[in-house]
Parts: sequence; C-alpha cells; structure tokens
Amino acid sequence: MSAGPYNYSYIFKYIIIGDMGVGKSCLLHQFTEKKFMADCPHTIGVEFGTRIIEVSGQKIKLQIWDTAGQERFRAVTRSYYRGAAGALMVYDITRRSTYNHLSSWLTDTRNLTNPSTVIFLIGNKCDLEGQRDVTYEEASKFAEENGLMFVEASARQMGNRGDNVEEAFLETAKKIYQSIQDGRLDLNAAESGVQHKPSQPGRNNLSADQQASKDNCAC
Amino acid sequence: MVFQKIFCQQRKLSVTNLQYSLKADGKEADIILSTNKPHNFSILELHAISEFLRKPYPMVDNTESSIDLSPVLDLCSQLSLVNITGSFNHYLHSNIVLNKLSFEFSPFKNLKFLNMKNVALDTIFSLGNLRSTLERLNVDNTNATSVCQILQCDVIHKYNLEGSQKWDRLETLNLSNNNLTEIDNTISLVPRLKNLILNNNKLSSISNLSDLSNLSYLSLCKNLITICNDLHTKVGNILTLNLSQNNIVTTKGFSKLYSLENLDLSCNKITDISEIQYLGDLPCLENLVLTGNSVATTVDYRIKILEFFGERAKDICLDNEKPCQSELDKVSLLRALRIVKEGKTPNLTSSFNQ
Repeated sequence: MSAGPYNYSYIFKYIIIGDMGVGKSCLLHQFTEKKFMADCPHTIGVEFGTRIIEVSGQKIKLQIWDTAGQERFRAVTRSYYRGAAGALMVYDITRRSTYNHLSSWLTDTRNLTNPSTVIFLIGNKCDLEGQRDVTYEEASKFAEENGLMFVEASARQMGNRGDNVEEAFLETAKKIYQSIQDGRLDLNAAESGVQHKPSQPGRNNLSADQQASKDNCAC
Repeated sequence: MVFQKIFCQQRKLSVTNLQYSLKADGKEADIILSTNKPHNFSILELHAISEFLRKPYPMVDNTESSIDLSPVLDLCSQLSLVNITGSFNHYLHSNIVLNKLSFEFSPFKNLKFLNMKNVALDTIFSLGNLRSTLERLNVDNTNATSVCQILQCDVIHKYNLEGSQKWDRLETLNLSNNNLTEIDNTISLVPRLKNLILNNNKLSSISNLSDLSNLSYLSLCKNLITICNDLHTKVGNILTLNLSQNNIVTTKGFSKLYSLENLDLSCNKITDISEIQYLGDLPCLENLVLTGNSVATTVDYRIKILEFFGERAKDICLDNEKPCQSELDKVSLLRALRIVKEGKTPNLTSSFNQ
C-alpha cells in the first residue's frame, strides 16, 4: 500500500491513433496488461489505460488515450490530441491502405498537438510476415523524412518483436523526459501533456502536509 | 425612416443622447479606452450610429449644429469590451421600443468581449467583422430558441453553414437564460470554443458538440436533461462538466468520460447509490458534487460513494469536502469486507504501480 499509485513524479499523456483495425487497443492492452487480446471489440469513442514506468530513475505515470479508428468517431477523438505529450501513430504492415493514410494522421497530429509532442510510428502485426504489404525500408524512410521515431512491433507476439511494443512506449517517454531536461517543454503550459507531481506526499494527504509544515516550523 | 421618426418624435432626447456620447467620445475616449471596463452602449446609440453610416456623410441636421461622427467611429473601432442592454418596453415616454430599432456592428473593428442582454437578435443586420475578432460572447435574456438565431443572427438562411460564417477566435460562449431547446449544428461554427455555458435554458439533450475539439468546460445547469447516454461519444476531452439542476437519474453515460476532472450533478434525481458506481473508474476525477440528490440523504452516504473510487478515494473531493481519515479507514474496511464476502481477490489494477 505504501508504494501506492501516487508514488510517481510525472504524468505523461499519450494518444494512440491510426486507422480502424490496426491494433491500437491491442497495443495498449499488451503494454498495460502484458497480454494479447485476441477478440478485441471496436473501440467506441475512446478507451483509457495507465502504467507507471521508470525513466532515468524517475517514476512516470503514462496516461494513455486509445482512440477509436472508425471514421464516425473522428470528430470526437480529435479532441484528445489536445494536451498529448506523445502520439503513437499505428498502421498495419499487412494492409497498405492503413499506411497510405498515415500522412493524414500526421497532418492531424501536427495541427492539433504542440510542437514538442513526440510522434512515434508503429508498424503493427509484424508477426504476419507472410502477409506483409509494406516493407520495413519504405516505412522507415517515411519516418525519417518526417522526423518520426519508428519501430515495427507485434501486439500478439511476445519475445523478440513483442518487446518492441514496450520499446515504443518507453522510447517516447525517454524523448519527452529529455525535452523536459533540455527545457524545450514547458511544464507549466496547460497543453504540454506533462504534469509534474511532487513525489513524496500524496497531494491530498492533509495530515502528512500538516505534519510536514509542523516539522518545518520547529526550527 | 426610423431615424427621422426618432428625430421628429423625440428630437431633443435623441440629440442629447448622441451629443452625450459624442462628448464622451471626443474628450474621454482615451479614458474609456484606458480603463479595462466594458463600455455600455444603448440600443438607441447603436441605432443612431448605424443610421448615420447609411447616410451620405457628413450629415447635417437642419436645425441643430452639424454632428461630427468621426470621434464616435474612432472610439468604436478601438473598443474591445462592450455591453449592450436592450428593452422591450417603450423608451422613456416615447412610443419607441428600443428592441425594434435595427443596428449593426460594422464600426467595431477590434471587439473582443461582447455582452448583450435583453436584445432582439433579429434587429442586428450585420455583425461586421465580429466573427474574426470576438473572443468572448455573452447573450443573455433573449427569446432565442436555437443557437443559430444567435450565431447566425445576421444570416437569412440559417442552418446553412458556410466557412465564412465561422467565429474564428471565439473561445467562450455564454448563452445562459435564453429559451434554447437544442444545441443545433451551428455550434460547429465556433471551432475554437473552449468554454460553453448554457445555463438556464430548455435543453433536453447534449448534441452536436463532437466537432469542438478544444471544448474543456461545459455548463448546462438548470436545463431539462434526463438522459445522457455514452457521453464520451458526444463530447471528447472535457475537463469540467456542470449538470446541476437537471433530471438525471443515473451516471451510466459518464463511465467512459475518462478526461473528466470536475463533475457537478447537484440537484438532480439520483436516488440509488448504485447509480454512482459508474464514476468509480474515472481516473482524473477530483471534484464531485452530489448534494441535492435524494441519494445524498442515504445512511453513510459519503463512505459508500467514496468506496466506488477504491484507492483513489483520498483524492476525491466530494461535495466540496475532502474525505477525512476516519472516512478513509471506513472505506478501506468496507472494501476488505466486500472482498471477503464476495470471495474474490482484489482487482489488481494497481499491480503496475509498484
């Protein structure tokens, strides 16, 4: 209990975007629950997940907004770009159309987030090598041209490639943390997508605060 | 000519009125501009200015001295905060009804805040460039029944959305105390809207808000809202939602509004404590108000509500009051008892938090 859910110093907000059926919810599930969800229902509007990770010895809570890929929810999911510190843009390596739509996803991301938002491109379902429709080189070139970080991953396959799911979330966090260290990301800006939490006392733990102030007074 | 009519019937009145404003404008314009208070306009003044602008210029009144309008227009073009109050009664002892006089906003080039009270919207024949400068609009006490009557008050074919009708900079829209019956699709003409306040209207549903990707504050106090299903598909990344004084019976529709931080459901019709359980999974919720519901009179009400939030109970400010330690202890006890009773292991959602 003492290592409760408030023992972290930052909150980073992520958004996962991409066409319908590319496996956004499965990536989230894999990352937060470490399980593959075989029959994942269509997301209605938005789903949510959290996990606490560690970057450079700092505990960071990731708040992840998993948006619906269906066109009919596009308007409502657009609002979640606001205040996202990281955006995971997902396509399906077995369906070229999902790759072709990346530029429109990227435009949305660039328009609706702030310049310091880290964008990570994920080619999902790389366990289905036989059905591959987009080569690694092609996507890698696209990522490079647009200044995105890129990885191919599989939410289904744990082990070598499944780890890439983990890597995508962690690398994004590292880059955001780096921006904070460099002072490029303003923690006080409302839409930065990053909140700093004083790590020690639970912020609403009145008795602890009072205790602390008493200690300070007894000088 | 309405304007001449004023002159004939109310010559003295109208002229003094204008001269008053002229004087103020010529000498005190700088003072008006330097104070950060909204300048009050009467409908009569606005009407007179509008009529002047329609005339060949300069207009010289036969009997009175000529009136130079340039200081007035100069002031208008620089004003950023304006209050307008209308009236449906006869003006003083005349037969003039202020809200029948038409006026326009084209002299205002730099207006950021506009507050209109008790105004007849159909008398506004042009919004000038209000759509590209205004940041905050309050429209109070009109008989408008739909949003289009306000946002498209100068447009003949309402509901017909055109890009040129967009309110490019408007961020706060307060349409309280009108007779709005629905939020129609003209609300999407305000793409940058952050705060929407529609208190005291006759709204029965929440609709057409999904296009507003910046909306973070929504207040719908004192309306007729009964059912709110799947709110997360209707409003996106919202932080504050005020639905006090409606007819809501359950919180089911709020269960996926994960971004919500403040929720006011006071004075609704929630009777059963289990109807609150859907709020338990909202990860960002900090302030919850449930007073004025019959559920708030249940025995051990606070503890039962706080129990839904599990580990987060200590962060929930319920009815403007943080839980005290004894309440938190009881919540932990209740949770433990429940686990024993139901014979299931605790839900280890926090397993990653260690």
